[in-house]
Amino acid sequence: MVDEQNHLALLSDHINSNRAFHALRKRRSRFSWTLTGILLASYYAFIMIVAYKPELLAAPLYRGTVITVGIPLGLSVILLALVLTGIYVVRANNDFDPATRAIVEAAKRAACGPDHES
Amino acid sequence: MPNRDPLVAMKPTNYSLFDLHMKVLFVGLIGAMPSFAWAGDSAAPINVTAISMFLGFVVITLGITYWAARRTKTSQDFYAAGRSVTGFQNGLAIAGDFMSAASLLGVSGLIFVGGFDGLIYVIGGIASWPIVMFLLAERLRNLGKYTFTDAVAIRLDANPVRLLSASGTLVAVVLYLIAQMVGAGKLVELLFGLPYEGAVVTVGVLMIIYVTFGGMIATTWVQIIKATLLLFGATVLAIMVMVHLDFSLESLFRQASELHTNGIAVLAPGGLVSDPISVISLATALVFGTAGLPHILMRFFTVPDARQARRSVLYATGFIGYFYILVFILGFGSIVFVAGDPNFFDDVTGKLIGGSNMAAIHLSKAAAGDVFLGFISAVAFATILAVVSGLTLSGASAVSHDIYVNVLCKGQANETDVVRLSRIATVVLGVLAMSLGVAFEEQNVAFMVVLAFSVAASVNFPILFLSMYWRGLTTFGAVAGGTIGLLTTVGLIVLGPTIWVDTLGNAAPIFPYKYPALFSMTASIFSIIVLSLLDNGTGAAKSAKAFDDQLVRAHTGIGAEGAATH
Repeated sequence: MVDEQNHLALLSDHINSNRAFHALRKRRSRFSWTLTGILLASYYAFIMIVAYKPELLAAPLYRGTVITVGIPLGLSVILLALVLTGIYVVRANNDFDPATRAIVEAAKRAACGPDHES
Repeated sequence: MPNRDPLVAMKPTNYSLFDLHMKVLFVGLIGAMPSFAWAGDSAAPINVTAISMFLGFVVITLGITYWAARRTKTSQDFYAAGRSVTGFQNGLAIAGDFMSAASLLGVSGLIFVGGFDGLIYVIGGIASWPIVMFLLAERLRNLGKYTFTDAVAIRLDANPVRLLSASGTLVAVVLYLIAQMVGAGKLVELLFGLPYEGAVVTVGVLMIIYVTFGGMIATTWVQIIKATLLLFGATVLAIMVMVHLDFSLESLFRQASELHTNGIAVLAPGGLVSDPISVISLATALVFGTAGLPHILMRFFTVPDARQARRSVLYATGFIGYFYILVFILGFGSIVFVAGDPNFFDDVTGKLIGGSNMAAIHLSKAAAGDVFLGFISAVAFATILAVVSGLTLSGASAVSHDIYVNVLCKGQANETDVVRLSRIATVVLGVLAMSLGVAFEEQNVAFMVVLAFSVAASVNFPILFLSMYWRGLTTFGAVAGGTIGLLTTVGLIVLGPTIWVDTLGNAAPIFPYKYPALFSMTASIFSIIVLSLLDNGTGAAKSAKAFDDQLVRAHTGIGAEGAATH
């Protein structure tokens, strides 16, 4: 148990001193926060219109319809949520996961020697 | 490994107790059937289809519970299903947790009453999932063990932090449980002619059986089965609605606007919430509350790793988005099919039979006939059962894992005791939920859920988020600020229109808004940050190093809790 903890601490220090880890961390953060920003901005934009300018959403979508602008606009926020989530998964699978694996493996090699993969 | 088969010794007792419960339940349910018939000659005729379909669900889920009980040996099995759930299964289970009676009945009821404003609930519910994905899910899986509290406690002084997040969990869980219980009671009262209290007790007893014996394994599979049935039922119903309308959205909305008392305004904002602050506060509760709901966060520990946690959210978002689009159609569909039909309204009071929450149920009769009404009713009842099970398991884990094991026993508790205590906590929470379900009979279920969301948004989310993202967070800041958040939320709810006026009978509310989240979440985050900055205790340097280690673990999964080895 103690050995395992020491080993983990060692790995952790190796990873933390690896520039590639911090590059990945920043890249990942920037991506996550960008997507979060896009989603929250669209969501609160919609909510602010509902709260302060509801008449904008009450307008008919086109001449002769009862469907208001608000309905497709609201549904497009749902669609945006789905699309952004999908984009995140694709990027994480193709970029973040392999990069993380490489960093962890490098740390394991450095911490344990080449023939002690655990 | 300390956590190996501690329950072996308890097994025989377990099974006989389980069998006994099953017998009592069956005798009880079957014995009660003639009394449904007796009650049938008043307002609610009995529906044999609904009852047999629900009994079918009960038999299958009790079978699963029996199977799960045999596999539930360690606390990892009990709380986290042995971390053996796949991303797809977990996505379905998470979607199931979220697609509660409040979503199906409450939100379609809100659309039935308020039209467009129901869309706020729909959009708020879906918008939180990307946030959970981008900011929480993977880190949470890498940092925690059984509860989100584990992830918060990893870097801070564990005891006070655990006590606070366990309290946040319990308050959110109990409020949410009330909403579900009320939904169950109303539904069965209307459909089976069974007294409200009888339905609440049936849900409570079944849920206690699932959770005590089958733990997270049973809870997950009950949720998966129900989510599948619900998605199927909602799809068929939405198709039936649209068949009658020749698949024209134009005629759906046109007929809704012709039949609704608000007229064309039913397609525009303002039907439910008219003042801007309430709209923003409600929206905030929905989006950040979801990200702090303990029974949903708990599900991220049932998958083997962060990658599967990510897949879970993707699937969950897809299912929930699809379901909510259906609910939107069902809400407007119920205006078209139900609002103009006097059969669905009480002759004396002129109100919708069973209240607005029953709009979707009436719709299934009007658009798809009696057999389908039975199916949807059984599914709605099953939904409530599945969701209360998850909630109760989450509440029980806060009591046993967070408070008992980690605070009282400093992590040294005996496995058998832990699982036994979780079971006792489950029973206590179940009884509490039944009593409160009876006490809160007259509340709108979707609104009660909003209260639970407000607590989750104002206590759980800020602490979890800041502990993962802000190096400067200190124990004192988290605990004192989080407590301020919790007290503010509860205080504003008590002083607001729902409790101060509707329940306590005062003339005017002290706090004017129904939804406190905007104020309480702001108060919480502000206090946590300010108090952390003011707190220049001795732990600062240690805490910074701990934050580095936590970051490595959060990103790479080094040291994360793995899957079961047995």
